[in-house]
Amino acid sequence: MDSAQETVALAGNPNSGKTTLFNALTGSSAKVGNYAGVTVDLKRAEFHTPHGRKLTLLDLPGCYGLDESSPDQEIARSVLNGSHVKCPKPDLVVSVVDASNLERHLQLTLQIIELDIPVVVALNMVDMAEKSGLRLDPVKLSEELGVPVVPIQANKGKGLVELKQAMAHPFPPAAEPGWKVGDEQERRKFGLNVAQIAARRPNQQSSSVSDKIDSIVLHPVLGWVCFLGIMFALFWSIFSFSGIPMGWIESLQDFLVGQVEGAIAEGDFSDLITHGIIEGVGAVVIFLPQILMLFFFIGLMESSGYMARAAYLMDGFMSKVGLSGKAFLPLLSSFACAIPGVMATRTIDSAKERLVTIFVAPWMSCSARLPVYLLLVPMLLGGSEGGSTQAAIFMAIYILGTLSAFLVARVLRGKLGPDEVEHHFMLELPPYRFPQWSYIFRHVLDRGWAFLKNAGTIILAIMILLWAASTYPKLDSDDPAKQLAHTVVGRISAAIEPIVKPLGFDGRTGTAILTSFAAREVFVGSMAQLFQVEESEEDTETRSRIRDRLASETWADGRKMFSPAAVISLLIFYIYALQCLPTTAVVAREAGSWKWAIGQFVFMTVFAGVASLIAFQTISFFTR
Amino acid sequence: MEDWQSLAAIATVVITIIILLIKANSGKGGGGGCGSCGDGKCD
Repeated sequence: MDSAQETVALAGNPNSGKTTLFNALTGSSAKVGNYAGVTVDLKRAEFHTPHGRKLTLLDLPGCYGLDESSPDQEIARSVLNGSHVKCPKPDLVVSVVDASNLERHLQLTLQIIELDIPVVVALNMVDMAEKSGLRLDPVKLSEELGVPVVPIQANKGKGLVELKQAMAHPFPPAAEPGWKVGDEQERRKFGLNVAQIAARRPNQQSSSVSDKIDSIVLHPVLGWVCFLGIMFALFWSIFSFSGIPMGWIESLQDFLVGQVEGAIAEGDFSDLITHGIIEGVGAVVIFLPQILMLFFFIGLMESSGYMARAAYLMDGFMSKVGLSGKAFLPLLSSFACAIPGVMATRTIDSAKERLVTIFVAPWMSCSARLPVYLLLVPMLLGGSEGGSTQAAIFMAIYILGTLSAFLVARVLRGKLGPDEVEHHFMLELPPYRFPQWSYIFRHVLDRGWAFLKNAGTIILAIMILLWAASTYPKLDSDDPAKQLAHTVVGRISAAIEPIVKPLGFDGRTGTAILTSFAAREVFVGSMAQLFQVEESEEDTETRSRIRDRLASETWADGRKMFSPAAVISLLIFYIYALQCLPTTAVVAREAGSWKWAIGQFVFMTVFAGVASLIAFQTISFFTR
Repeated sequence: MEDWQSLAAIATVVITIIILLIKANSGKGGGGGCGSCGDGKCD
């Protein structure tokens, strides 16, 4: 019996299902998706064999071979070579191969066998392969390779017991390669030969369902129509189906305020709880249904295989701005959050392209911007809640951010110059699969919980501090406007109003923008607080939604404060400003330079300010 | 009645500042804009 715990590594091509298998074996919940490049870091967990032996399982980033150069694939290569600083050479490698793509996936398996490590092949997605007409022969495959082969369906948990048994002690011996070690030509020939023997396709000419769908969604014209149609449906659903749950959250908020007002007499503490905390945090939490819906659709696209098609569609467009299709998936991840997006740039081989992608990733509208957009977009329509018009404006916002990012990428790419070595992009188009509902719902719950946790920690803290700043020092006056002007917020507002007024904002909106540099969603809560303190008597009826309160605000001369020009200016500011400290920290780490991160922050903030200024002044000029 | 309310409100604000300072010093502060991601990679 070994005293040291042995290590098993999961290796395989991108999108072969390694992470799904990792989750199934260890009970973890690492992110999975039906597209390449989801895992960019080393993941580790423990699991037990059927005989109760504890093993450490490593999930390596996907790679097509052991001679590639992007940072994520370098991790996989160094672990398998035994040269990784934090990780010993694995005692056993489970080579995960997609049964439908044996010709290509076996090449990595053969390279691992050359390393003289015990190997077990997990022949994954056998159901999909058989459905596509392939006749698999795992026994023959095992004989040819000289290693155990276990057919599995990782997403359904099938074949896992057999796989664990194949990992039981003692590990199978390292196989003798049946080709000349190190000779790429021979290895390739051997792999193709084995694949043909082990996976036969009797009716090779018939096209699969995936091929038929792809003939439409990858069509040069129809493909774009489908892409835009899917995006429109996504945004339309976000607006149309979330009204009822939002109403529930609003009712809960009213109920809580009523309870506090009933229990505690009027005073500072009661005001802090009701106006500061419940209304401030509530103004952000109310957008939870939309956040959940956005992640449900993202999960659906990832799980079904459509995400890879979107990347394929964008590849030609991306090359025009000097980025390869490899940059598209990190940019796509940034629509959820820039942090995993920035981390996903590790799949990019070219260091220059990686830096450019990191630089522009925060311009993909992340989900933290969603509450701000959801507050402002309906104000543009004067209270009309037309789902399709709002969806169209939303699409325009997302397209503006994306196109601007591409434009800046093109300029930056030109400045950084071409790469010394030419890099090629290979994108795998996985077959369409039925969405994994359990994964999607877990993903949606995780994201929803993260949103609520954020609301209950950082947003709560900022709301408490903002309440204090808009309450103290106190002035003995009955005029709420005079009271506010005397407070810290009043003084800050007065100081910054001359700076933000040309952009169409008053001092309070400027202050709300300042508070949102910690986290964008804070803006909504801050607006809810700062635009209610003037109301002298607050009861359940007057506590209408924040949007109505903002719509009725006027300047001293009677002009509407939140005119279309001002709302568009605010929207533009939020599309471009980099108001996320964790992103700046991650950019500094990934780019290996604080200079790059700070440069990005300054550039985006200045760009946002100038773009808002131009938008407000131009629209005001033409609508005067 | 007014006094205890002012005191409780100020105490809440002070506790919030202390918690924020402790979190900032432990290196886990720095805003929560990424919170919506849920990937757990922020740390």
